[in-house]
Amino acid sequence: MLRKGDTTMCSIMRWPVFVAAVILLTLSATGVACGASAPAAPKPTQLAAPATTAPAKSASAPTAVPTIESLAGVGEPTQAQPQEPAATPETPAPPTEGPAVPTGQLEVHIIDVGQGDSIFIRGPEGQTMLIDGGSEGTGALQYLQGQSVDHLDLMLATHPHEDHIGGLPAILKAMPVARVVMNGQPTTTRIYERLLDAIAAAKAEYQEVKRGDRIQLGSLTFDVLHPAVPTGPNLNNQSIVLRLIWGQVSFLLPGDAERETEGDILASSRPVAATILKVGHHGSRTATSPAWLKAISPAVAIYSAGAGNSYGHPHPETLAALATAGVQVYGTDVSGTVVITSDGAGYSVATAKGNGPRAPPAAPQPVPPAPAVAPLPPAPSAVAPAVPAPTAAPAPSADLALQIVSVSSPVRPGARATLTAQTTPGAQCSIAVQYKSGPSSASGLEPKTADASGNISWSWTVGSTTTPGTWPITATARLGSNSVTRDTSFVVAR
Amino acid sequence: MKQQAVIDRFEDGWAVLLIGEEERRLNVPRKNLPRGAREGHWLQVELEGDQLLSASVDREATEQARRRVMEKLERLRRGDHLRD
Repeated sequence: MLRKGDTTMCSIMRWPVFVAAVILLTLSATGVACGASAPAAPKPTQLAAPATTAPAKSASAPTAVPTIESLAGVGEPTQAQPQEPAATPETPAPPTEGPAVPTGQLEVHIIDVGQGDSIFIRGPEGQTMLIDGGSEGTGALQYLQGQSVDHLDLMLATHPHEDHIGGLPAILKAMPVARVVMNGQPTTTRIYERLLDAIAAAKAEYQEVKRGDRIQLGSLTFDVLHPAVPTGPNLNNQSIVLRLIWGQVSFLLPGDAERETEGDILASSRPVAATILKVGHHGSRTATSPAWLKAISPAVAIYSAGAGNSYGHPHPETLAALATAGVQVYGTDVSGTVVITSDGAGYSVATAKGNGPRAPPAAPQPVPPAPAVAPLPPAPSAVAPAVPAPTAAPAPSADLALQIVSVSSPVRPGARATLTAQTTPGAQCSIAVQYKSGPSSASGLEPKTADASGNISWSWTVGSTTTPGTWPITATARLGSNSVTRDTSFVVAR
Repeated sequence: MKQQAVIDRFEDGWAVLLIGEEERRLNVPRKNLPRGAREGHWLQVELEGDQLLSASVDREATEQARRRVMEKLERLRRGDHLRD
């Protein structure tokens, strides 16, 4: 492919010399300890309908906390001693009684930072934790401020790629951060170096974790499933992989861990089952292997990806695998920020744009028509989306789906663009590309019929005199008397 | 004009470069990078707009960055920043 790469300007943020009054929290809500993993939590039997956005609580005073435990000597090579769930005192009890019955609300916010990852967790005692911060300037700090977060008890970087750590230095400058946890795998980029500088300037405790460690955040315990040893050639595959059990609801947060790592974790025999899965590596096909998905067996999966990103995330294979497994899938590219709120017995999912889970892609093999595709759950109407979402079209009827899978963006004038979509096999599809000068009449944009797998794509040349800008694309699928329309956009670069 | 860039990561067929002091992000086809170029390598690149004309691994810059980062990381590990 000779298409030129895309660019995103990273703003030059020379930090002010003025170092804000960073109040040191000598008490931290976090500690890390080594121990056995708890066994799988059963899936909840109830799922609240996608509802209103989670309430924003004020996270003011640091919560009462255990003292900081040093990691020194903790979590030595663990492979020799596979953990035995039998010995764990933290087996989730039935939701009716026992010390494991959580009180209060847990919130997990998969923040929309475009093509990157950032997850904010607010614990039942008001603990605050941020896992990754997206690329620089993509809104994680503003999101936290919008949630009235004025300090972080814990900041964790799953791995030091720019789309995960870029936003962290600004947060370290903007609010007190008690502790920073990383995997200890260095890289050589300036943004990584700036993160190290920011941790030092903020006087945050610095810790590294590995498989077998536990991160304690008030009453929340995160099992560290990976990395086994904190060095390796592929940074994605050194991602810190966390599992959190909260009553009967559990979360698996794998960073950008790819299939190789998934296999390594499965081979370690640690429990991975979880109700809620943050899909690894932005929904890339390099992650979410069938064995991994089967072992986790999530009810809900959320991926974080930027609309129209250059890498085609989430990849259709991943979406198809999740759909086949009957998982409800949310993505930040189509829903904005996704918030899971749980009382430990059940959970609810809310999205910034008010839409429900993605419609499953059309079944790969055209087996008996209707039942092969799970019906689209009713779209919630509790939150009125103020901004027209890229794919916030009316919910399609149950037997006609249409999802835009990828679109080239940005594209330079004179270059080729491609849009791929998944729809119901045999659907009649059309596409309209609107430029400043009006609708495009480029060849390649003619109506088409989806193939037996529901795949459809259009490729066309962006005229050499096309005005740069963000231009809307509308795709429509028709089958019988049903029709579905999806909107997206792409960027014509200078 | 030659510029410095660093390979942040690979995404499928793309290499994600961070260009210059301002770390402008640029996707370039991975196959256009020299053989053996890896995450964390510093490069000397020649660009025309966003088009990569040439790229070579800058081993000295890579080594310098690695040493600098390791020193800072070791200071954090020792907790030097908490002492003064």
